[in-house]
Amino acid sequence: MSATLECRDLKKSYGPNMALSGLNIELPAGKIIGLLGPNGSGKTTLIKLACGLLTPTEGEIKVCGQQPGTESKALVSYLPERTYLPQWMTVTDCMDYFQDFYPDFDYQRAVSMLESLHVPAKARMKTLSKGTKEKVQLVLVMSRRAKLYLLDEPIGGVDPAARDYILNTIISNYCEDSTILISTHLIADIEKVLDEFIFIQNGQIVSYASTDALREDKGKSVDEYFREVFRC
Amino acid sequence: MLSKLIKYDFKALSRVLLPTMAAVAGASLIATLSFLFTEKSYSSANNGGLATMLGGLLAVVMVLAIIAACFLVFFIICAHFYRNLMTDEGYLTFTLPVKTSEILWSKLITAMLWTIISVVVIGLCVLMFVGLSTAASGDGRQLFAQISDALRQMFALFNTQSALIVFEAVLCVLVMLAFSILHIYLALVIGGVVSHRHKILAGIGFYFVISIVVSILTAIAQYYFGSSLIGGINGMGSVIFNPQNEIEAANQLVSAAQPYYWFSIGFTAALDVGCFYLSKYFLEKKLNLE
Repeated sequence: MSATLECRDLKKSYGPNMALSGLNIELPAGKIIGLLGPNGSGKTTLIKLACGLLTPTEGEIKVCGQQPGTESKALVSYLPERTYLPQWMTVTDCMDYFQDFYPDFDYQRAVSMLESLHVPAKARMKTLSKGTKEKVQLVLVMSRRAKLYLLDEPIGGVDPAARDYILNTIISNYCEDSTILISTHLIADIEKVLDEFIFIQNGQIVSYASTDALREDKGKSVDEYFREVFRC
Repeated sequence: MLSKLIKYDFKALSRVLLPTMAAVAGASLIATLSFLFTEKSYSSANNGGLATMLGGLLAVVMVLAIIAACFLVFFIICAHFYRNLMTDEGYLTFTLPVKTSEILWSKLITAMLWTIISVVVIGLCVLMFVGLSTAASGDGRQLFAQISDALRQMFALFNTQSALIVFEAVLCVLVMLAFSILHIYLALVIGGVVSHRHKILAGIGFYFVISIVVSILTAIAQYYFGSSLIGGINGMGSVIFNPQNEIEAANQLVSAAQPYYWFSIGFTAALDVGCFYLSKYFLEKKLNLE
């Protein structure tokens, strides 16, 4: 069985700046993986390449054995760090939109999650607060039965009380044959849900290990280890 | 998936353009009724000068409203394309399981449909204003009589030749409309790729750059192919225009213009294809949403 996400000598440059320099990695199915690194390390570039928003300069990237394209996009559920839903749409319009384009979208699950988060379904996106917009986006993304979830800063804009709900949502809503890749700076908040972590710096993998192994071998949390590795 | 993209693009444009067209139709109706009312009131009060002045003022207001509506339609179509592809909404649009070509087709088709709808609505409004405001006078009735007479004659002469002319005219309008939209789309896409801070300004700049390139290409095409095409039209000098053989003269004129006509359609269609595939290339390979 092919890896959910596979990168071979993956390079991406923006003019003279190299964002990813020969990255090699294989992410297995059924894991929640943290993609962690300092600012400008290449986290968002890797995620954008995986969901087909960017094309590699060199090397290749595959999602479930397929190069980024129409077929791979149907397998990837992507949450960017921006509010990307059209502001004129209501929350219900957004759910209809997802249902129209993604056959794996579970409408009832989305309705139930939005009700739990007290998000008004009839409200227009432009009338919602930034945090509520992020909740709507996360609900839509996690209501899909995707093979690969790419979450870029999923809890950055929400209050600490909602973070636990969101993390529980992430854990309880993914299938065992799916992979979740979470990029964030709020390591302490998410590390309890992580099975594995990837440290990335200057476009290269610094470390890729299981969180349990880290705790057993080094006796450290991911947050502590991150501070040690990337100490300024 | 294309039909779904068209559905949402049409919905997004209709949200603003439908009220705009309703406002244009409403304003035209009010202007027409006001014109008729003032003319009737002042004419009966033997104050024809004031009636003409007020009528003229209303006509000016209506023309300004129509010009504003045209600009609004143009602006909304461009803004929708830009917002949906080049801003944060692009993160949603470009991660949908659809081809980039389908996204562009959807934007083109909806823009063309709304442009045609706007032209029809504005045309009907102008016809209503001109028609009803002159209907009361003898001039208006004469005008309508002449139009209906011309239409009757046109349908009487309708044959294979005239069907071809109508087909060519429709095709010509469609390829030119598509070019005018794709030209703007390409400029906005290149502007968004090249500049990260002043995308719209760069887009406007590239609009003029593309215009210059198209002008050069047109000049080259006319230099190489124009003389051979014009030869046929020069031959028309021998046709004698008189009421007896006006149909024959028209047929000859149409036949002589055929190569030039089809060349123009073909050339514009090639520009359409060029703009479309360049936009697709830049969106797929070069765009990096910030």
